[in-house]
Amino acid sequence: MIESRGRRDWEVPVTVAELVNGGPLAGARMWGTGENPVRQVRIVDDLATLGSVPPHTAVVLVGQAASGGWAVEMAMRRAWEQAAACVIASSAGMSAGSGAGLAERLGVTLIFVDEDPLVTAVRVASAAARPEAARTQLVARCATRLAEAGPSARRVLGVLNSELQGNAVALLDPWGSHLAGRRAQGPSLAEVDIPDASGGTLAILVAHGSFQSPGWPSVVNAVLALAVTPLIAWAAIERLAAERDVALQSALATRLLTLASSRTSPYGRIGDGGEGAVPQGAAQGTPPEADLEASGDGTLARAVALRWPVAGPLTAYAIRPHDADLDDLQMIGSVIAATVGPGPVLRREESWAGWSALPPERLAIRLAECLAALPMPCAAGVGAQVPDLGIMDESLLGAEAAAFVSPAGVVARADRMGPAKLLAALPGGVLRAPAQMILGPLLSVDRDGTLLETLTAVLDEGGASRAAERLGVHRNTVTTRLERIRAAGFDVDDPGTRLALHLAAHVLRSRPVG
Amino acid sequence: MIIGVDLGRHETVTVAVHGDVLTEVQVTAGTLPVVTYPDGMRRAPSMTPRGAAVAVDLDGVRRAPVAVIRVSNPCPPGLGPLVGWPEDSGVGTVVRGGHSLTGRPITELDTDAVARFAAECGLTDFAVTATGSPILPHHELAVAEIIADEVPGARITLSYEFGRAGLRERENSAILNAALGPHAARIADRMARDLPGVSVFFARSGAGLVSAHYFRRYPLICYLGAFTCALRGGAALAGRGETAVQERGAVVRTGLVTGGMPRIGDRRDTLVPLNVRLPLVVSASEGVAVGPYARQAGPGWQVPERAELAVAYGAALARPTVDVERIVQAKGRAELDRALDATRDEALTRAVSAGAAPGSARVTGTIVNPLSYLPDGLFRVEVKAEGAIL
Amino acid sequence: MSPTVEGTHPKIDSMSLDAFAAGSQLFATGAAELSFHLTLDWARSVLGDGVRVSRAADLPPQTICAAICLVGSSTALSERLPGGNEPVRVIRGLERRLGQKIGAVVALNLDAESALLPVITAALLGVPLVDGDGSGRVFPLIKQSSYTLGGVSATPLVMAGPADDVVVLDTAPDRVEELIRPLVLALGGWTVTACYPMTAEVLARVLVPGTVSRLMEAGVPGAPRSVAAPYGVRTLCRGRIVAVESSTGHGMDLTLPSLPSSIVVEEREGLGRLIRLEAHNEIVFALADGAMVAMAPDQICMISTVDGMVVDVDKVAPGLEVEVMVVRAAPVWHTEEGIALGGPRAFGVPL
Repeated sequence: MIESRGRRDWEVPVTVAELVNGGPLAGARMWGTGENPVRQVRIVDDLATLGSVPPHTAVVLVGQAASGGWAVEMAMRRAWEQAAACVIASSAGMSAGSGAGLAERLGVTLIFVDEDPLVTAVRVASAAARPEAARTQLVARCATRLAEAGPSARRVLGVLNSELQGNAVALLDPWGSHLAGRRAQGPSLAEVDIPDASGGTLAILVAHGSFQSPGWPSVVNAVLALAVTPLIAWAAIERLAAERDVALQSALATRLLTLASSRTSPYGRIGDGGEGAVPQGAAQGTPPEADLEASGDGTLARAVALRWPVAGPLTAYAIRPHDADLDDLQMIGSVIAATVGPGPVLRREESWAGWSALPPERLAIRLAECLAALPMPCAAGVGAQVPDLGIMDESLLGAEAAAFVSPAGVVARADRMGPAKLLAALPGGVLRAPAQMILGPLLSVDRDGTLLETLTAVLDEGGASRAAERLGVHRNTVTTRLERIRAAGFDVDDPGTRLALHLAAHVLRSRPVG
Repeated sequence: MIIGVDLGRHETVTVAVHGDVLTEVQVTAGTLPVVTYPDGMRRAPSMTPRGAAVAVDLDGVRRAPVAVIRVSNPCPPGLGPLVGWPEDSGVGTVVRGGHSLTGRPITELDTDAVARFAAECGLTDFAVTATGSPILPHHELAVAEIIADEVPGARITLSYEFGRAGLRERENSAILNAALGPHAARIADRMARDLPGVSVFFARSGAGLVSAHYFRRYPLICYLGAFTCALRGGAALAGRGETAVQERGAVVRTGLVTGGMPRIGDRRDTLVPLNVRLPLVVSASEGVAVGPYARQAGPGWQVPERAELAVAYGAALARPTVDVERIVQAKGRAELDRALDATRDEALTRAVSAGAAPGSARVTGTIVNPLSYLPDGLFRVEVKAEGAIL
Repeated sequence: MSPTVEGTHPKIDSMSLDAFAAGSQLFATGAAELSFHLTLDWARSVLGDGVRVSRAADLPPQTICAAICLVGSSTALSERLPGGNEPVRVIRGLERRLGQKIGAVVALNLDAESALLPVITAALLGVPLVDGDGSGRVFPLIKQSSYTLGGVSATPLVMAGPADDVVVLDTAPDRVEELIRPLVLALGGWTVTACYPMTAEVLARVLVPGTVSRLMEAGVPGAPRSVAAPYGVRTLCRGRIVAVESSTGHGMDLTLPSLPSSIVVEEREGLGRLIRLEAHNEIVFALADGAMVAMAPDQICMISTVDGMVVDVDKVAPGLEVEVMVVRAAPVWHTEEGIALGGPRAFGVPL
């Protein structure tokens, strides 16, 4: 798995940062960048001898030379003059104090170790003399710990981040959303694909951090490669568990949608969605903090493990059985999953629903196949394509409405029907009560019905000017009425509520049937 | 709601602070204060004030003559009691006694001399200072007992209450405290009359509040309470944590505010050298001007709105605070820890006695310094404690 | 008998005492406010017509002189006041031991209280004060003086404290510190100490001359601070104290009166260097970004930018704005022997 070119990199001298982050100084406190290579070690107990230290030496202070903050500072100064790699001292009785500031000012790395500095000196000397052996040791240790961690994304990432200190390792979905591990910004140090069963990319393991030495990226790459197998196993286990359980899928999808809509209002993103997305969370201008995994419960990671599409564009669908009792028809779910492809299959009030990464045209074809395969008469609806999960509700509502007006065996497309046809088909009697509840605050101030009329016109026409034309009033009149509508608590610009408002307005405007 | 009262030398200014809202209020003696609300309406507040914080300067008030008893070995006349005080400040004597820095008695206390002086001095305000009392106050306490026997109704200040080392400055502090006692009692009486049913507190020099009861006993702690509040209130009104504040009242005084609090230190420009820390007087060319004549401040000085309310506002911002300073002798860490605990306990007790709600008192700072040029084991310990008004 | 002419050299009287006292504080380290004012009030009350200041060379050569200083805790001095006869008791004790009259007193150093005690002693005894001292600055130990460098023994040494004791130490000079430390507490926490008895002829050779009259000039209001530094003074940096730490690695085996500490100052201007001041009783050396920039026997002190007063090592706190100044020591301290006695190694620093 390790290229021969990488192997050669392993022989370049180790740097101070490498010693601290993955080597014999792991756990030590370091100030400064640690970017200098270490070629040898010198134990110093008399500050005077520092004058003879060659460049790239790790200076280990003992005895008098380590006897106080002042002695360490003087040693740092002389180390700087000699272009030494770093100064190492015991942390016992020492506070970083001005040493930390001096490390920054002089560019000399200062390291405090908890163990006997003489022991440290021996270990650093061996790493400096045989860099390849030191790096191999790290990789071997990681292999052992990964084997112990087992098929858990959380534990695997935990091992990687604790062993590769100073680096941040994260698991991202193919669109760059953060799934697990420590997030970071900037160019990556190493990346490894986690393949899915069909050979596509399920997720990507990415390490960020300082370029600690020429050999370091290939060491990191080797360690990341060790994690591929446990992560594939983890994804497979997750998928099996979920496919067996429709209720679990429904719950997961609900949580996902709730998270997405709360994080991405009004047109935010889950991950980075859209065309041309690259697997680099930070590169797209969306701060990584904004993504879903900030909630920390692993919802997004599990959705990705199930191979659900989580980044747009996405299209919702709904399938409504005409006569059957849904509870008896568990198998509908399986048929849908088999025909429509990867994606959640959810139980909604009177229908089955889900979403797909397929565009509406292709999704409609798949749904037609599905209707044909189902053993009972069903109708299907396709919602409008939406850019991300955050407004999936809108697409789902459309799909359900379309399925509702469609006769058995037919796939109706909400995006093709046009609002007039779709809305005309709504069962006014059933929806009147909820619509009245939704629009209650408006109705209570709308004595003569003009506000409801205006709201409907604005939503139908998609703008105040055209609504004014339709109503035969001045544009300013419409604007003033919209202000009153807003004051009643209704925002016609909010995509999250627009469709519901639109539906409710139509239901109330239509004459009660019968 | 807290009422802040500025007992200025011109007129009394009273404010109410509720949350962040500052309003001026009218006080008619013997009734609850009437608040002028932002809408211009004046009415009794809908809630009873949690307390009233009074700011007053005592550096210009009438001082009572004091009977001064120093318990120590004889010393040159130039270093005796009441040296440097105005003629009519009182009478003094030196009697044998006192303790060394290690707490050993230097000589026996001359109780006869104490009794004789107390009976013959003809005064009722006493200040007692013994060598070594920051380490061991036994002789001061013994002298107080004798005075109480000889002079019924005597008001006695013991110097160890102002517990820093430095006999002369501590003695001066005790004398001044005793001299201020009668006037402080009159102020406290008046505030109790004017604000019936309200807990009254007084602003300390430097920071914090003490209860009226504490103020009667230790008025010196509030020596420059109004100046302190001018600094703090002025900086707060101007919304600045670090600034110079110039108070333009009967005299013009300028102090520094750091982190919202007046900068304090030992000052040698007082009537006599004291051992209480006071807000430092500095010269500065710019900052915030407060006080009744703030508008006459020179260029460079910002006059805040409501500059005349600064002192009362500063008082309303303060909380009950005490500090205790002791010299302790401790061999080893365990003994020192015990001594520190004892000092902290004392500070907490005093904080409650200074008006802090018992549950709210907490230690806010402890300083331990070894005394140099002496064998190990002698430490100067300083503990600060504060709490909230009930 | 005196060969000097009245008026050609200064006299410390009630007029000039304040200037002398102010001058003694300009570079004084470890001075305590309370005990200094106490000593000053004491001096005022005994000064009478004033104390004659005489050059050592102007005294009859065989006049026996004694160095006077404060040994012990200034906190103790301010708490346990002097009885007033301590200076007389030490001089009489030394005279009894020597079998000779003391004809003049001289300061061991001119640091605050230690500058004023010789004035008090001279006034009480009616003898002249010699214009000069044994240091040109201040060191924590009695043996650290130009008198030692000139071969004069600190002993016999006599101490008297606020209790009525007089202690005469007849011992080798290098035993003095060990013996007096426990004695000081028993004597009341502080003592007036008379030491280095010698003739005026010897004194003229071993003292740092002219320092008393110089401080009288330097303490006149408006005089530049540098007047008090006859061998030169420079500013190391102006900055803010950012940390005060207890320090290790030097002087643990020494019996110095206080513990080592370390003060970090962040330079305000220029390079913004980090200045570390290593203190053991006083500041022993200064590092700027780890490089040595000043060390004992030169005197390093911090002057508060708020009030221009010297900031005591024991009282520093983060946040204080200070000017770090280096006062060059008298030439005698820059000899090999001088560096051995007053340089960093004398403070236990292995440099």
